[in-house]
Amino acid sequence: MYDVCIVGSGAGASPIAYELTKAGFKVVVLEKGDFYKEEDFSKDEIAYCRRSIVTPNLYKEYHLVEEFEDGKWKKTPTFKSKWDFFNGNIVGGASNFMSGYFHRLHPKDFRLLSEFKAIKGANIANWPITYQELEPYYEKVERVVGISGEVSYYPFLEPRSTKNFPYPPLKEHPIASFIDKTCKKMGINPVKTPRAILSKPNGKRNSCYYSNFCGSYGCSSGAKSSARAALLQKIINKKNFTLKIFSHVTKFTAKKDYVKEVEYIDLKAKKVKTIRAKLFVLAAGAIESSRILLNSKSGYFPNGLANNSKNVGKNLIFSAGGVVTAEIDEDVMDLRDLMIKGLFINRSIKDWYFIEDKKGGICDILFEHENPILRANRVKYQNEKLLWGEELYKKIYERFNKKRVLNCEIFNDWLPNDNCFVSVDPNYKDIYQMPVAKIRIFSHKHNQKIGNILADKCIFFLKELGAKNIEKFITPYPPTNLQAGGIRFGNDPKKSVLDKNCKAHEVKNLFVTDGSFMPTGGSVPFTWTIYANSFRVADFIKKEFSF
Amino acid sequence: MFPKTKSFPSAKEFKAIEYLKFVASDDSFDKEDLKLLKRGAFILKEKFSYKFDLSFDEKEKILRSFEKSDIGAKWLERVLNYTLEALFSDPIYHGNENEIGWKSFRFTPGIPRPKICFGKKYV
Repeated sequence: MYDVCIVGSGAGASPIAYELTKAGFKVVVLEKGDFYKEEDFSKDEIAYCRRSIVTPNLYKEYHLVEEFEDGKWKKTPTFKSKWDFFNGNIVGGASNFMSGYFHRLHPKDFRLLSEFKAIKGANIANWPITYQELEPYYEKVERVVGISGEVSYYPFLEPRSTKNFPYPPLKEHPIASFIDKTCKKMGINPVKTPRAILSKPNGKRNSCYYSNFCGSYGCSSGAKSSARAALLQKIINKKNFTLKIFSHVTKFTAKKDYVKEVEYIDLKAKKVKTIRAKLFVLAAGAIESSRILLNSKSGYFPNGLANNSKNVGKNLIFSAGGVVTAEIDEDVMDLRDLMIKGLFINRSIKDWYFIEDKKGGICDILFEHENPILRANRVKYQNEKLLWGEELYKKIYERFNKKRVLNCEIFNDWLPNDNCFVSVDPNYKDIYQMPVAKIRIFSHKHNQKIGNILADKCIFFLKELGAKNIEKFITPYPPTNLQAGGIRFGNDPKKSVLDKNCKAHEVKNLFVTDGSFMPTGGSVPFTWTIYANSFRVADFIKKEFSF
Repeated sequence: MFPKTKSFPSAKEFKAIEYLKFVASDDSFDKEDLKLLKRGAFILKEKFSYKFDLSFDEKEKILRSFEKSDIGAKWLERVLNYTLEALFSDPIYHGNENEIGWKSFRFTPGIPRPKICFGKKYV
C-alpha cells in the first residue's frame, strides 16, 4: 500500500511527487509511456515532429472531436483528421517538448467575473484563491524548476516577492535590440520573456547550449525545465519513490466516497493491474483526466468519479489567439546577423493585457521553428497550385537563406462555455476497450474579437519594424498543446468538481493537479501556473495528511 | 517532379525512393497515406498513361492534369510531403544521401543527431 499514487508525470504531477517524496511519503507515479533521459533525445524531425512516437498511435488511441458544422454537431475521430490532442506520453509529459515561454497570471485573472462585465454565453468564474496565495509558488517554480529572465517594467506587472529571476536571461539574438528600439519608438514596453530554460548549470542539469531545435524536441542538456529534468530525476533513486512506466491508467475503483484503487494496464506485461494507496492524485492532462474520471463509474458515482454534480469535463478551455507571421530580410538588418541561429529573441509585448475595459492578452515574439521539412512544406503551394521542381527548390532555398519568418504568437482568454467540454461515448473505444474522450469544441466569438484586436496591434508593430508579407491567422481552432479546465476548482460543490485545494468535493482522497482545475486560463501559456498550483497542493497535503 | 538542376539534386540522387521504402515499412507510417500512395500511382499509370520514358514536358502535362482530380491533388501533395522528408531528414532514414539535401540548401542540422531511427531509445 502506497501513501500517494499519482497518475501522470508531467508539470501537474511532478511537483506533488517531488515534494511528498522529500517529505517521506511513500509515493508511486504511473506513467503510460517510456522514460527518456537527456541522452535518449535527438534533433530528429521525423521522430519528434512528423510521427506519433512519443504520443500514441492515433489508430490505437484517439479522440473524437465534435465541431459545429452546417447547423449540427459533427463527430470526427482524430485518426481521420490527424488533429492530435496528445502532447507527450513519456516521463515528464508534454513539458519535455514545451518551448518554455513562461508568464504568470495577473491578479485580476483570479477574479475575472468581478473585474469585468459578464459576457453572454461565457461561463466565467472567479478562482477560489487569490494571486497572493499563489505568488509564493510562482516564485518557488522560478527557483526549484528553474526560470531564467529579467524583470522588465510594463504597466500591468504582477507583484513579486523577489526582486528578480534566479537565473539571468539567456543569450539574445541581435534582432532583439531592433525590436526594443521599435517598441520604444511606438511607446510600447518590450518585456524580456521569462523562459523555463537554465542559463547556467544547476546540479546535474547543464545550461542551454542554444541548439536551435527547442520547442517540440526533448532537451539534451537538461537545461529545459521539464518536470522530468527539474523534478523527477532528482528523486528517482529515493527509496520511498516508485516510478512505473508503460502503466496506462484506465479507471479508479471507489468504495462509496473514497478511492480504493486505480486500475492500469501494464503495457509491457499486457496485464491489467491495480494499485492501492491512501491518496490519489490525478494529473494526466486536462482531456485525459476528465476521461479517466468519467470512465470510473460506480454505484456511488453512476456518472463517473467525483461527478455526482455533473461538472466533470465541463468548461474545457484552451488558449485563444493565433499568430501574426511576417518576413524579415536584409532590408531590416544585416543578413549575417539575421541568420545567426540558436540565440533566442525572448521578447513579449504585455502592454495589451488589458485594453480599456476589456481583457486583452499577450504576444510572444519568436522566429519560426527551424524544422526544415515543415518549412519546405510551408512553401509548396503558390495560389493554391502545388509547386515542384526548380520552382519549389528556389522558394525553399530563399526561405532557408535569404530571410527569416518572425512570428507574433498571440494568447488571449478562451472563454469557457457550455459547448466546450469532454464526455465519453461507449460507441467509441480505444484498443484497450475504454471509451475515448469526446471533445466538443466551440470557440466563443469574443475569443476571435480580442485575438483580432491584438493581431492588428502586432501588425502595426511589425510594419514599423520593417517586416514584409505580414499575415494574421486568428482562428476558432484551439491549439492542442494548450488545454486546461474540465475539472474546475471552486467553493460551490454544485458548480465545481474540486475545492480550493484541488481535492474533489465528493471524494475524500482524490486530488487533481494538472491544468484541469483552472476555471479560466489567463491570457498566457498555462505551464508556470500548473507547476505553481501543484506545489501549492503539495504543501496542503503535507500539512493535512500524515500517514 | 524533382529533376536535377544546376544547384539542386534530383530525387534519384537524394534517394527519395529508398527513403519512402524504408519509412513505409515502419509501424509509424500512416496506413491511409500508404494506401493513397499506391492507389494514386496505379491510377497515374493506368488511366493517365504515365511512363518514365516520356519527355519532361509530357510528364509535366500529365501530372498537372492528374492534379485536377481529387485523388490526384491529394496524391501529389503526399508525394511532395514524403519527398521533402527524404530531402531533409537525417540520412539514417536512407534519404538525403551524404547530406546532399542539407548541403545544397545550406541547412545546418541540430545536435545531437539521431543514432537510431524513429526516436527509439539507445540501449
